[in-house]
Amino acid sequence: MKPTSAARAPAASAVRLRVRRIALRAAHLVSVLLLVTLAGAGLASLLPGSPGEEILGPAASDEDIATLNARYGFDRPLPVQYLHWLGNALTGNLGVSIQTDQPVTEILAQRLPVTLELTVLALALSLLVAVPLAVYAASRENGAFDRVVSGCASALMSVPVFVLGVLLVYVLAVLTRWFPVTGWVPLSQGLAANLHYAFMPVLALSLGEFPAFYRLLRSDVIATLKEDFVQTATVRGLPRRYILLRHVLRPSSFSLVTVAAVAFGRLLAGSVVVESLFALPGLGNLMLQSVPAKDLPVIQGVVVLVASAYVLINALVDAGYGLLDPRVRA
Amino acid sequence: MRIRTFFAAAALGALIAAGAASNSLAQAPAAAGSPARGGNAIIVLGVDAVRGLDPAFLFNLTPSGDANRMAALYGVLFWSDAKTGKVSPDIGKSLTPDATGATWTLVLQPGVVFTDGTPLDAAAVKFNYDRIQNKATASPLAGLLAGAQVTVVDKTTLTIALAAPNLQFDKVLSTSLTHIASPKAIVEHPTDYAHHPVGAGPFMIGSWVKGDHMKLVRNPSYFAKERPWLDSVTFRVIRDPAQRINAVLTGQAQATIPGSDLSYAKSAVRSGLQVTSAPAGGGPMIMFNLKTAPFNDLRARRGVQLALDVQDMASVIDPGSSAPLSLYGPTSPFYPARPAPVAQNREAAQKLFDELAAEGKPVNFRITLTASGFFKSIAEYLQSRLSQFRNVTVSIDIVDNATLDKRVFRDRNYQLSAQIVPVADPEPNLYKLLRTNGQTNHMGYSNPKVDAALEAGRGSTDAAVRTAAYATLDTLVATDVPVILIRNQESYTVHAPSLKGLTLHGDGSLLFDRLWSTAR
Repeated sequence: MKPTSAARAPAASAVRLRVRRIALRAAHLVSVLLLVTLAGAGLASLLPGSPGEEILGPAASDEDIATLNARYGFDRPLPVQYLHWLGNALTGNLGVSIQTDQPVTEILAQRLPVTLELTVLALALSLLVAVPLAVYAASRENGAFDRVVSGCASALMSVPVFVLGVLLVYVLAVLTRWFPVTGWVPLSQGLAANLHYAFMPVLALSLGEFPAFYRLLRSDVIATLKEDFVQTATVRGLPRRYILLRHVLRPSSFSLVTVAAVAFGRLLAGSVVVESLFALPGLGNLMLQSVPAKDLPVIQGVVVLVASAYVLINALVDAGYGLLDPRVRA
Repeated sequence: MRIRTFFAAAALGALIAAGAASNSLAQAPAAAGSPARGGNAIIVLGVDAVRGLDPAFLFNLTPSGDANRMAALYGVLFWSDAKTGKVSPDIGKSLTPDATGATWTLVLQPGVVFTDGTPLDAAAVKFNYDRIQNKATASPLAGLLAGAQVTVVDKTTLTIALAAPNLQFDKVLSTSLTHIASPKAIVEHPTDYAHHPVGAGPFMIGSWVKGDHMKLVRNPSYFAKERPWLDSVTFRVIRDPAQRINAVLTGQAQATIPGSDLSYAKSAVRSGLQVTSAPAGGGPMIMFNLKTAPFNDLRARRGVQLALDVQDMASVIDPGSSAPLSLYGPTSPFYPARPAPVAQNREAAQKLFDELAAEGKPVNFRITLTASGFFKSIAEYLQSRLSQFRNVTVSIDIVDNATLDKRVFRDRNYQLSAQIVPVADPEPNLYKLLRTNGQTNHMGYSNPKVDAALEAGRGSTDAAVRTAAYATLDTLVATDVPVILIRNQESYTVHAPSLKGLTLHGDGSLLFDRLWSTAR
């Protein structure tokens, strides 16, 4: 049976609304990218010296430095440099690294898998540990288990990730020799070897993220447990585990999903300390190497990548709210 | 940067905890057994070869930077003992001056070839030196060959006619002009040769994953047929010095160069590793800007000199180390029979500071240094000790490397800073440091008597003449105080007991064809 025109009108309206939302989201992405890349160029220009000075060293003459800067276009005003870069970027050309002469896209393709794997594994591990512990602790609020785990989470929260990393190195590498001190084996060389090398950095990052996830979810679950519908389900005699997993966890996960998404972006851009400590060839180490050298094309490439990831993940999270709570879809 | 420094300190703490109790920096015992072919070595450095490896651009020629990679890939024409500065032949057979040192004759070993099959002959050396001299290359080494005329005599012989006579040019060549690149490779890669390096050294590139590792494999056509002993050398980069040692400690690597702090070497020894070291002269030093107040006044420099107990300073900024008693190391022939370092005299220092203040010139200054743990400790030590004096105000300006390069080394826009200048032999490093307008004379120091002493040392091969000249230099520097040496110099490599045959050259990089391993 064909839909009537009266039935088609709301459907068309829904499509228009969806298209409008996607257009707004795309506009948001473009504006964020423009702003962050412009800010990236501006901040890099504030760094002392010039790429020419960095490449040629302190013994080089002013003339040589000027020649090199002209070769890379760093003698032009910042807006001109930025527009030139933007024009190329729009065609998919992110430029060439000043330091290594490699195309930036090639460098990002080499570095991204390492950081992405670290980020995904660290988030997965911290959520895998935080979610059951938080739900269980919240269901026994102020009990011994709750107090012990909450105490541990608070303690972990106060320890910087680099201290955790050093402790892990000492215990798991230097003392026991169970894991390598540093380094990375790509997935292409075998899953076991990859995970063997990834374990300590992932654990260090996870221990840094776990406390926030745990504390947030625990407090949200405690609040949800006080809701009327939970009391009703309990009175109806539904099993405690069923209530927690089916009725409590989903509506309590809003804040956790939001924070996890933010953490994803932060880990993607900010695992500099862990990547440096464990000598991992990821984006963090790349930034650490590129910023002092004023390698603007590489800095901009990383900025574009991370900003895009941030915006896309947040868009996915917004979409995910509807799955968690049907009221959002309405 | 601050976080990195902090976790470096924390990691060092963990490393120290792992070690057994011992306090002395022991050198590796003499290698037992004979070298044998085979084995591999992973060597951990602190900095990646991001700019590639071009002998015309020895930008980061520190042992923990590119010096070791260069030595493995290009080999050396001549090498300079890191302890004594003595020059020895390698790919170059001989290097001899005429009577005045105006013209040097360089003879190469016959039949040396680059790993691309082309010959490393006199024409190849000339090609490399001409390229350094060429203004378009913009090589930072151009000054070393300024005005020099390089002439090919025959296939293995060339002459280098210098702009000014220099009987110590062999020391310049063996430290800064010792790596020769394949002309064919340079021509094939006119703009990015640094990323496609081809040498005639003991190893050649097997694989190079930038940002991760560089694997060098044995060069089958190396000129010394029995060497290199190792099948491969892999360079990896770990930024944190303590983690570099941990990598060797756990067997993940066979050698590392932790950096300038001697305390790392001591920690490594305590952990059961071996250290091959080369104590020399010079080393980390405070440098004053003589072109601006307050240190354009000798009394201000003298005041700081008298105010400091440099032995205490050395033991605080790098625990277990000591301060040098002379510009030259204890093993140098120029080391004085009775060193007479300037002793601390707080009363005399205060008197000088008061005198300056009375003239309206109080000693107010800023220390400009990087955030590296070692240099930061220097700044903090100076501030804490000098602030105890009346009419002295010290502030600290911790900057990143780029800012330091610009502010201190390029623009000379500083009052007090520090640098490390190893001195195995007074040539060429002391010449560059103390000669008027010398390459590393960032102090703006100029004393005709010092220049004369440097020229006298450079212009003679007579040991007595050189000793007298450099003794004069030692005295003049102690009097003029353009710099204050604050810790003894010792380049070193930490390594597993299974790695043998370590020889340090230049500022402390290894000669890779001599390395061998007992591990299979």
